Amino acid sequence: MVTHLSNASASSPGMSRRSLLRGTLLGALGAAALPSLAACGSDGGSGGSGSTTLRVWHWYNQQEAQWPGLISEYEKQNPGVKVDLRLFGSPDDYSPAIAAAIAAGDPPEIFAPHFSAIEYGQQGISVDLKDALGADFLSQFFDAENEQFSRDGKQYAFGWMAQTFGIFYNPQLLDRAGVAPPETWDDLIASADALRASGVMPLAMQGSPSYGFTDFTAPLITQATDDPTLVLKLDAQEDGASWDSEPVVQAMQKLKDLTDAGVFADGLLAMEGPMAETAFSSGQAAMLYGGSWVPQDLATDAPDFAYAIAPTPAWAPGAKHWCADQAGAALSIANGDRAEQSVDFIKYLFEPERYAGVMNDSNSMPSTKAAADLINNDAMKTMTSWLLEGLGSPHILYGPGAESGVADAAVSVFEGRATPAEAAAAVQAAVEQAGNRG
Amino acid sequence: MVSTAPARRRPRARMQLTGLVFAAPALALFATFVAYPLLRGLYLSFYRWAGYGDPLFVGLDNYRGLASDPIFRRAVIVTAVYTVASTVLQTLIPMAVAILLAQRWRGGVVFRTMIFIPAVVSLTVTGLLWQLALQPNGGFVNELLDSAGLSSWSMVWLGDRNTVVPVIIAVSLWQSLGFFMLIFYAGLQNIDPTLYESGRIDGAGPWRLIRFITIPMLKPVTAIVVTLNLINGLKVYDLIYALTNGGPANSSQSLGTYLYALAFGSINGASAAFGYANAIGVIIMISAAAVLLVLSVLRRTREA
Repeated sequence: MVTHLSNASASSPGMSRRSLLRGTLLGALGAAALPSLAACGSDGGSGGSGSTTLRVWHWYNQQEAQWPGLISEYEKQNPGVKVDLRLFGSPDDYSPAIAAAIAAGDPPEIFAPHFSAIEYGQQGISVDLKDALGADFLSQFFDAENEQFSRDGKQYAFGWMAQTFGIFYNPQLLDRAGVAPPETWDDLIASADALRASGVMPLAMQGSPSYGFTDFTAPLITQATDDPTLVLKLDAQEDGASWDSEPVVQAMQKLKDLTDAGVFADGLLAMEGPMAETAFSSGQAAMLYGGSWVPQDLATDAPDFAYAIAPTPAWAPGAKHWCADQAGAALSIANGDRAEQSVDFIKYLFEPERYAGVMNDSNSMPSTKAAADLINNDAMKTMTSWLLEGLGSPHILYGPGAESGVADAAVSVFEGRATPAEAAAAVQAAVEQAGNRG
Repeated sequence: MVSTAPARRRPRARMQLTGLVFAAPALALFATFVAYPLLRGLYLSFYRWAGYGDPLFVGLDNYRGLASDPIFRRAVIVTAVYTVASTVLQTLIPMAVAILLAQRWRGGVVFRTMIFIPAVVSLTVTGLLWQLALQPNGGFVNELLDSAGLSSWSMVWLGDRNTVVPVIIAVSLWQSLGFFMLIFYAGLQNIDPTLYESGRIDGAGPWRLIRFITIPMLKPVTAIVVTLNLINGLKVYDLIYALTNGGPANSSQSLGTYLYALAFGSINGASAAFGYANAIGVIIMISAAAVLLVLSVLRRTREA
């Protein structure tokens, strides 16, 4: 038995090694062939069957319930086209994925450009929409949004949802404290003591992550000057605009005045957006500074909660109620052989009744003027009216270091660690520092 | 003899080829997922690149930029404090708990299981749970302090520059205690019981038994725990990201979270700073290698 086994072991290893080598080589060849085989069967392009897949990537989950119906109807109308929606949970989930897709040279056909709409366009990653969609089509969007995504006569993205910021307030809590919705920031400062005496925090907002402070501070700069282009110039560091200039100092001073008066909710620096909304809807805070997504959230999370909306307080009595606007939710079309079909899908989405229906069904703020007229939701109608009145003020900063620089400086003022002038100087220093990053 | 003879006659080249075939899958994976990204990261650290278009060679500019970057300096401090504190706490406390649990007292198994449960929860979920618990308005921790009559101790734990890093370290300890305790516990099972018997015969009390038998015998395990903690500390990212996202105002920014914010966040505006972020990645890698080298040298010196 032992001999047989030895003989067997003496003869079989050679065979098994050869088999192993052959098998491994075949396996390696098979593995190497897998990507190309996968590509043959991929639905990422126009295949031999004549079908085309349009990949749509974004994180705008407010319309999560509406997208399947939209896609299904489009696919019925266009049997050769398949729309593959990849809806991400948040911008944080989305950013690495889109960065990897673009770095690999394979961006989805329609995608959220996030912060980089113009850069992607200038690099040829996304198409010029004035060519692709036409100026007439783009004219239906709010002007501020079109400007936001335009450079050198070309436009590289369009708004999917518009956005404005305002003051949401709890009428019962304001009545109980004997105060009215604030017309100006000074009104808000004057009401803080009465609200605190009645047992509520005056104003909640997102303090964490800190960019909530940028959303709050940037419109103050516009309010200080009545010039909505100043923030854009500061962001682009154009026309001699500098973050350490007087309007920025004034905005920081206003933030300091509000802080010193006890306007902001306790624990603001640890308060994330959803927590701020909870503090408001649970009656811990009488007011909430937030964007046009808040009515959507409250409709889901606190459907029985009664609240009202006031414009962003003005700098002084009679002054304009400049409010943060700009479309955080935008879409771009990738440059490639499916751009034409992408344009067709976009035009389908924006057919006036269909688009207004989607925005109404999802309690969202539309990005087109025509759809704004068809809005049913009172809260959304009010907030959209500020755009129609031309009260929009930029608050999304694209320049290197600008957004985080403003946020960090505003936090320093809030904490009492910097004077308004020091904070303004710190923003400029942060922007210059960021310019050195590669 | 019979069975070994054919092996001796194997041609050397053929044996090498066989070995290579066996090693090939692992080598391919290593080359694809470790060596290439590492070299590519090193390469990109000398370039300005936003993730698209052609990278622009800038030499050492990214490294020079880091030297004068206040956020980077803060991130270095946060990372160093976190690494040192978490290494010390996440070594000594799990060791102490493991020694206590090894005394086989009643309920020890239940206690051990309870301590281990957080270790199976992902760091991201841990971060979100503690973020809720540490909320200043209605959070579990402040509510507990209030109900214990310690309202004056209530704080904005994650929104205060003075408390945010210690709180992150404490949460990390909560999460990892069970895991490291289990490693020490396994190490304790390998200590020869006769050593303790001899110690007791020689008149050693519990403390002396721990000091002169347990701790020295746990040295190899301790070295592993320290190494794991050092590496985890230097590359800490997910817990901080989930708890504070580096805030407030970068006060809890670590090298890992800053790197991520530069590459995928909005901290650099519209154009991501992949080259700059890769320079930070290279520094993390060099730091980790240096620390491990020092540990290795220390260990060899002591063994010699």
